[in-house]
Amino acid sequence: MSDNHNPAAAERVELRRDVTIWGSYTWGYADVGADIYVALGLVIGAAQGGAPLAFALAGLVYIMIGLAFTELASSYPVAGGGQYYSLRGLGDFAGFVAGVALLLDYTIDIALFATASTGYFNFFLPYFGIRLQDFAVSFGPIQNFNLLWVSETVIMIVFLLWLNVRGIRESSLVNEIIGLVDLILEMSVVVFGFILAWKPELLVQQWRQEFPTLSQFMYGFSLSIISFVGLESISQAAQETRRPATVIPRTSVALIFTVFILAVGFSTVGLGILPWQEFRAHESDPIAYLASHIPYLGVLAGPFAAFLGATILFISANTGIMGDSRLIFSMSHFRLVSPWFHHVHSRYHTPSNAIIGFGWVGIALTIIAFLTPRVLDTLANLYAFGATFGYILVFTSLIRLRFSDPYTPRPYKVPLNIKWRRKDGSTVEIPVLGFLGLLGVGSIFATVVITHEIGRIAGPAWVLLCVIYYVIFRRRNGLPVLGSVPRDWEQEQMDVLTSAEEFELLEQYKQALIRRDRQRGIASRWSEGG
Amino acid sequence: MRRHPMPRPERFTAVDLLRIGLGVLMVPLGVIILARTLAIAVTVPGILVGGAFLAFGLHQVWLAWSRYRLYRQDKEGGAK
Repeated sequence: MSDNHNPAAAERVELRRDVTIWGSYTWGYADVGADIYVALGLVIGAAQGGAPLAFALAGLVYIMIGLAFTELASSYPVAGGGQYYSLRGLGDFAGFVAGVALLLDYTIDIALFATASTGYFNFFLPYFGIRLQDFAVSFGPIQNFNLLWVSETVIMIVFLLWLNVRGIRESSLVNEIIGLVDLILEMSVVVFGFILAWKPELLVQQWRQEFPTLSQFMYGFSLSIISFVGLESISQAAQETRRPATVIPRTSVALIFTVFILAVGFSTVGLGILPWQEFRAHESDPIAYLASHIPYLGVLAGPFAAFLGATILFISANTGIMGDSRLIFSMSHFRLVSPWFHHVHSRYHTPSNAIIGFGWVGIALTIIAFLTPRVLDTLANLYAFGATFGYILVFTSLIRLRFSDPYTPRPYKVPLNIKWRRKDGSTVEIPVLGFLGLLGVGSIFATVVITHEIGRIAGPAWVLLCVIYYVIFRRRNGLPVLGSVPRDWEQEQMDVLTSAEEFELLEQYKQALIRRDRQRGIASRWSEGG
Repeated sequence: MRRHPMPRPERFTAVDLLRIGLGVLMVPLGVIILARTLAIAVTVPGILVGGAFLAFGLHQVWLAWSRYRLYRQDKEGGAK
């Protein structure tokens, strides 16, 4: 795959900045808020009576991750997310590895959310007298391979690939509407569930008598991180928001706490309405099943939740395809992967190689997951691996960038910082919460590796294969394997802030660089006539 | 560490309405969850969720009240 094409000279795709505060919030919610539709059944099935605690513990780590993303996305409002922060803070190799973890997540995203979306569609099958179990076949060691469900999922992914190659994507308005309707529905299920159906004695009985073993609890705890995946959408929204430094901190903090409260609320209301075993039996449509058990409203709320779940998960699967193609496009731009991924379809002007390439990986993963005893659990295993691995690199980048780039203005900083004056006179704020978050996400990652049989093999195997590819690609193109290609990050930051219309921050950044150069006793290229 | 404070309210918006609605809903809900759970036993989920709802609701009400006060200040300042 060697060629002489210089991606640095390739046209930089600039996204239009037209997302509002509310749009930014609902965009994030449409992405992160969809996770609970998949996670609720899986986590309650694993953590049993201790599910609310599992959600709460993972949620605390998620809050720290969210705050880290808020700082990074408002300081570096570009769409690359974790991959860009790692590239900037830790260099090319770490940027590639973070990108690979994200690519794994986006690819699993396609498979997992398409499978979950069709799972919610299947909620309606009994209305037509169809039983999903009738389509399950067994052959050899493979048990309960569901032909109908796998066919629906594969067809959905192919349809999404076709839409993306044609360049059709949902508009920001559609995201806003679906995100809002979903927020109202989820709030309604929790609130009306608590008011009309919640039995605290059932919750207490399950908490006391059906608390899982430590290993089961740890498994559930590590799975519950999947209900908080999708924070990359904060950085995605940052690239398409005007004045992101002002907008992002407000919307993302609200988003983080809404998702946290709903995840803990759902598990608590759920275990006060139904025994945990029922969630395990309905892990493909847990929210719809729960909603259908709310007195008076259930007859309508159940099907509506199933329809909305199917829709929002369909959009999330599409986010996976879009995420894959944008990320690989960005990695190609920074010469981390072959420019082959930069190929744009001659007729539709979309990154067709990236879309189709990763789409087929998504289809293959779906079919392989259906061959295992529990399809959603298998995909969630891999999802948790990719997410926690990527988040470790995000925390590391947050800490590293505080040291290597203290000059970029940070409109929002994660709380709890210790000021440290360096020998050169500059001051660095050491993020204590960044270290705590790194510890928290590291512990979840360790739990994933210890307790997830599939995740601990398939996840590292994916990373290893990609690293082998990276070594070959960089060597063949005469680029450093462990080192980085020289880049003018200061000019890049100026361009980013200019494009974001953050002129006040731009001026602050320029002044900070001039001060730094003055302290070093060198002429600054940023001073007037310098 | 927010260097960009919340903009001063110029009018009553749908977001303000949502904030007040959420606050009014979450405060009694949090109290009810806490009271009903604690009446049976002291358990982590009950305290956690009841407390979280209560705190979230109070925060929303406080935010709405702060914005209202700013709005009144601006209005009175403008009238003078």
